Amino acid sequence: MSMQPDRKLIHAFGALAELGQEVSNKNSFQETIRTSLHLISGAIGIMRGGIARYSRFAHELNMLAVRALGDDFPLTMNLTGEDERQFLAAGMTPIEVSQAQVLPFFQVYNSSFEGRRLELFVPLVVRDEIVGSIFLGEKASGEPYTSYDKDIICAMGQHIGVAIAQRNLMAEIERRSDENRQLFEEMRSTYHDTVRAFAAAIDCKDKYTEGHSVRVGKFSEIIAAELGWGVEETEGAAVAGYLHDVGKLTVERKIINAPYRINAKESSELNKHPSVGFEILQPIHHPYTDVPLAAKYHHERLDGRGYPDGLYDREIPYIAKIVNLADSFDAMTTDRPYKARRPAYAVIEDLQRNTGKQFSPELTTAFLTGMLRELKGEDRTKRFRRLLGRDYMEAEGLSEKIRYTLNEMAPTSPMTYVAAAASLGGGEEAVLQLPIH
Amino acid sequence: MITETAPAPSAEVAEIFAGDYLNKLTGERIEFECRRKLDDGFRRLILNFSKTEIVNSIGISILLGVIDIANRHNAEIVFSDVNEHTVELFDLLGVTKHVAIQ
Repeated sequence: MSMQPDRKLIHAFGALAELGQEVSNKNSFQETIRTSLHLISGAIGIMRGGIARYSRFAHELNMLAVRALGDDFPLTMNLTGEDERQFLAAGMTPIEVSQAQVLPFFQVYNSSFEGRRLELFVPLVVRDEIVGSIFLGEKASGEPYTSYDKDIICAMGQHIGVAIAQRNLMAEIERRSDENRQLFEEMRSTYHDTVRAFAAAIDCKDKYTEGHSVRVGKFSEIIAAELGWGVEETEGAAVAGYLHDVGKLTVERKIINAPYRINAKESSELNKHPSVGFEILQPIHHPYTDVPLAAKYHHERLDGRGYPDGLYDREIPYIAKIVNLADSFDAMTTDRPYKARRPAYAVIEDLQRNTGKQFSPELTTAFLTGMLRELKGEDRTKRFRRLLGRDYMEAEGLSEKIRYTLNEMAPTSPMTYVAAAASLGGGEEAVLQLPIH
Repeated sequence: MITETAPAPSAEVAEIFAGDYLNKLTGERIEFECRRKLDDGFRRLILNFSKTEIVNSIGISILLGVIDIANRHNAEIVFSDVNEHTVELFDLLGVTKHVAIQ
């Protein structure tokens, strides 16, 4: 064996190794293809060429990289069904352009190929699919391509074919992922529309508390946001608020709308709505798991004096505590048939007085902090103003009142268990025996 | 600097120096410089390889591209001070059929 083929082989192996590295690194796809064309050209000594990607939907080859093919070389070329069949049957075998004139593809583009002295066409076939092609012009030596040259070109073509196939796969995954994201957004939007429609339906039943469920949803959302919850969890809190009173759909309208304090029997009927709400919501597959629990336990209190189950602090689902605060706040700040809306400072006092008994301290703190931030102009979303009205929020001394209340409130409340024990008529021993967990 | 342009020996001749390793990065710089010189009206480009030890496949491809561009500008390319090893490679791949080596 002469020295020349050895040297050529080593040079070609070097190019092949570089190509392997190139297709496996994280360069941009375009750059990888451009470099691949350089490597093939430089490995054999080819004056000009190009690499195209095949679109099986449009049945066309689109040039990704070209070298010295001139401005008039077509950047898109169509294949017929016959061309596809022949290329697939041949597999990744270099085709001599001069001997392939029988195929429609070469007949159509013959003048372009001849004009740029293209000699070889290599279909890139990966897993029985055409993914692209390589066009190669004359060798710098002016000699015809040898079988050795063609073997090197095929070996390099396989790398390039895989790179294109991988890119196609990634593009397909991205496309499907986008489709799924869009579908998910549509479903989520439909879900929220349905939830809001339900909230409106619930509120329709009670003419005095029109908009109550929607407001409780929005107050719950504010509390969750102030607690630093993520977008989805905050949305879940809003949904829990919207649907917390869904059980009221089964309560007689005359009880809900009674313009007087309802009697014990009516109260018993009304108090079933949390459990009924749970029964309605439980079979539905909600994106947010705690929605039925919020409906069931939104009238529970930390001191165990709530209903339906008389749960204590840590037994109450967190979401139910949020909705409870939102629900109570809305009840205090809207006119009822038997009770006028309370002034802002009185509501703040009420929240403080009941924190540790009915409301979790951290929730009251989060809620009042949100309100204070808006009053101080640190939060310009006007969430509270929209829900409570401008005049209500601009009550004299409200900022000072909230700031004072926040300073007064302990971050945790020792009252919780003491109050619970007192309700059981026990002392310190009874506190320890409480079914906290 | 991997490549540099020497003061023109005459109004139409420009000399461009290749770096020690002619790969994609340095090759593209040479190509850029050659295009610039051709656009400036130089019709004889001397590529000086006195510092060049290795030329890889991408380097070869870029040099073939430079030759093609020069042809389209009716310009002449000359490779100078090429080491024996690189001349052998240029011969093997047919590069020397298109340029004069001095």
